[in-house]
Amino acid sequence: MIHRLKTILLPALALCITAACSVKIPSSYTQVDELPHIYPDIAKTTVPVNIAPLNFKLTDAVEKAVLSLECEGIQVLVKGPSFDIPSDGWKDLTSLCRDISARVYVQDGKSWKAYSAFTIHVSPDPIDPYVTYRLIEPGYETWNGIGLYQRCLEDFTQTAIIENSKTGTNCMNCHSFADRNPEKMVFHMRGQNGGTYIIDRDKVEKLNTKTPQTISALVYPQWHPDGRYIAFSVNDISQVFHSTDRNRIEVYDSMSDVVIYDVERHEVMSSPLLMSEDRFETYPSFSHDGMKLYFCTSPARQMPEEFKSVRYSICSIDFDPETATLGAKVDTLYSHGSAVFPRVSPDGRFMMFTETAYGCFPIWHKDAELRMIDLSDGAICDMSCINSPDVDSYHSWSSSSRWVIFSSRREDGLYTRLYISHMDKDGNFTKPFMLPQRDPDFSIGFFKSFNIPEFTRGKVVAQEDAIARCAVGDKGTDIRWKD
Amino acid sequence: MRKTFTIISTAAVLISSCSGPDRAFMAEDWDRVIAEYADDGENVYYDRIARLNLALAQKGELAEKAFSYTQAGSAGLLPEWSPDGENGALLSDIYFAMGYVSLSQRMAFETDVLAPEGHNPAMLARLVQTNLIFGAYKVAEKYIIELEKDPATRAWAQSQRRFLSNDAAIENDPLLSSMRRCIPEENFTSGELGLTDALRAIIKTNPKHRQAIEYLGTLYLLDMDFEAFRAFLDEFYGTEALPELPRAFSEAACMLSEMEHGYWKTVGVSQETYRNFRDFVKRLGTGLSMDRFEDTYFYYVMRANSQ
Repeated sequence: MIHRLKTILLPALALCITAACSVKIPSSYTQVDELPHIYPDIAKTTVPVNIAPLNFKLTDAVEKAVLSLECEGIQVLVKGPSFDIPSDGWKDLTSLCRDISARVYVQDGKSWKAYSAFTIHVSPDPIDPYVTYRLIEPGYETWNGIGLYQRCLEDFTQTAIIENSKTGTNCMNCHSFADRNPEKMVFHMRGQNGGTYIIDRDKVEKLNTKTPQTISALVYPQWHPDGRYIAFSVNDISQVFHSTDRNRIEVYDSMSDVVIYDVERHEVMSSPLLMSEDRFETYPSFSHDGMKLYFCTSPARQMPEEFKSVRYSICSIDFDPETATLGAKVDTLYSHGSAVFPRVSPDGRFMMFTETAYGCFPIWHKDAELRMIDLSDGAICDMSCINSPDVDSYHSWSSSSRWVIFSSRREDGLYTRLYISHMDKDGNFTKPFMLPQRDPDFSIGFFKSFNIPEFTRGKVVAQEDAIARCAVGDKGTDIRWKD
Repeated sequence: MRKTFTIISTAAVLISSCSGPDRAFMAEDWDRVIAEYADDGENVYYDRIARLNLALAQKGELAEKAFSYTQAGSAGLLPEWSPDGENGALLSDIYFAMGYVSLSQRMAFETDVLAPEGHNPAMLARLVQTNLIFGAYKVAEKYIIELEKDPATRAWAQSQRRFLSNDAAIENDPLLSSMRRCIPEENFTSGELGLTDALRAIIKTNPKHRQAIEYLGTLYLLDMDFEAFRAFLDEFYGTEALPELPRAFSEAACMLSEMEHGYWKTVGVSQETYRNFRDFVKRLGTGLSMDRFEDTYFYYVMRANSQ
């Protein structure tokens, strides 16, 4: 039935899209056996069915160019050399096709030439419609405008959840959602209006989270999937600057522990196994079913003198959400290099993490790469498809477990950009593509980094003004330590 | 005196928007910066003194003539970074002159981030230079592209393209190659080495970089840290970095001779300089005019001790 419908509709649709654009494929051209030089590189990528158009441009100086996107009898023509693909045409292509053939025609003097076509594969696996990130300059000590933003992946709309222009130009960081639920979010503000902010649908709660028993206010969060608990690290964080090292900046902990916060009781608790005097513990993350708490731990070192000797392993401890009790033993899952940011796929099959030679802040480590363990058999997966020679770091799973979004500095070595890659059920990834932007030049002219990408299943509805009012006007609730 | 080269060269495109001392500074017209420097009597403006000292350093005259002007301690050589970022560009220039490329880059970045609207073009230019020096060509190109958007900075930005991924071109450029040679082979962090140790590392890496040795020695003198200055002479006098002592260093060596008889002779201080110092000592406490010593280091010490 669907096939018949397509047969009837597609010729008319193709005609419509072509005519509407008044763009034509040149009547004569020379076929060349090479691919066009394009930016961003979207050739041979796999994209979700519901992704925004993957606009791109030709990097060679060209006066006139035409892009033809074709499949299943549909043809979308776009004028170049910077291709702004019409969203309706793109939606037709992605909804009806599995492989989109993209061919670029360029005017070469008085004649035209056609490059070899490349393919964009469309996966039927949808991606969560939103991703939240922080935008901040990849700097040393200062910042100017910082904000937490949500981006609709189905189009190019970016909206602010909160910008620091409304809260005294303070620092804000470390956002996390309960199982990608946009109605349950946590993040911090530092300095003026400092506090931890819990968003529960449209309600905003401000917390003062330093207790006498913890070494700092709450820092790196991960929600328990049921939304009742949030695991945090508490850290004594410092940074130093390198003189010659290509990594530029070193961020390290001199102390750190892991605690669990009870959202309903305003209490924080832990275990001696997560607060050892002679170990650093950080980056907690619950398993998909909420029955285990993963975290990263290293023997404590004298800092900063021994910063290059710190190696974090990924460990786990049982957690009973019914009684909020932690297990009596710690298991080590991965112990090679320094492994941080353990994240279990929602289906429970895989754990992705970041590995670097040492330390706990891999966004400043050129060697940082994504790694993955198949939790069903403990096998280490091949991740060469998505890693790059530069930093590849913070990552987030889609609800379907079929997509990951991750941070990388592969473009220029400094400004963090987001990349999306598809994973099949066996843990095989496809070539990643950069978070699409309407203007292909956006990333080149954008001077902030995208930090901490987190998928959500919908849009955060809390109003920016409500968050700002809470930040500025609310003294905040003190949390308690639970023995 | 050794010849020094123009070292900033990024801001020339921006001078049309400046006037007075700013204009001379941006144009790297060091003679004019020095000529237009005005001592403001009781008020101490560290940034202004630091600009004067930078101009002297760029001419290779810091250790020769610094005390011809009223100095205000090491804060007049390297002012404290103000959190609002107002003097970040100056600090980036000073660190660049010292050969401390990573800190110059850091201050340029911090200053650009704090630019009230868009970018600070001079600091973007510094980011181009420092990233070229470090071989971080991709991000250098990002800044070049941004500077190419503005007609005022386009020509300069385009001129930097020849260095992208071209180590040979950098090696043939007097400024970039000299600065690249200032990068110590062994990495250290800001937590491990303070500024003076960092400067020592730079001097050892590139003893020909005159500004580094002049800044380091002058830093000790302005802080009146004679023990450190003595160690500095022990380490560097007679080496390629400091084959002979400039005036301020000679005068300080005379003062060291008060504690170690005849020391001045061991570091090549002239008879005339030492005689001048002895005259100064004889007049101390006599009520006789000291005016003719006003441009000496020992006068600076006397004045500092009397305040």
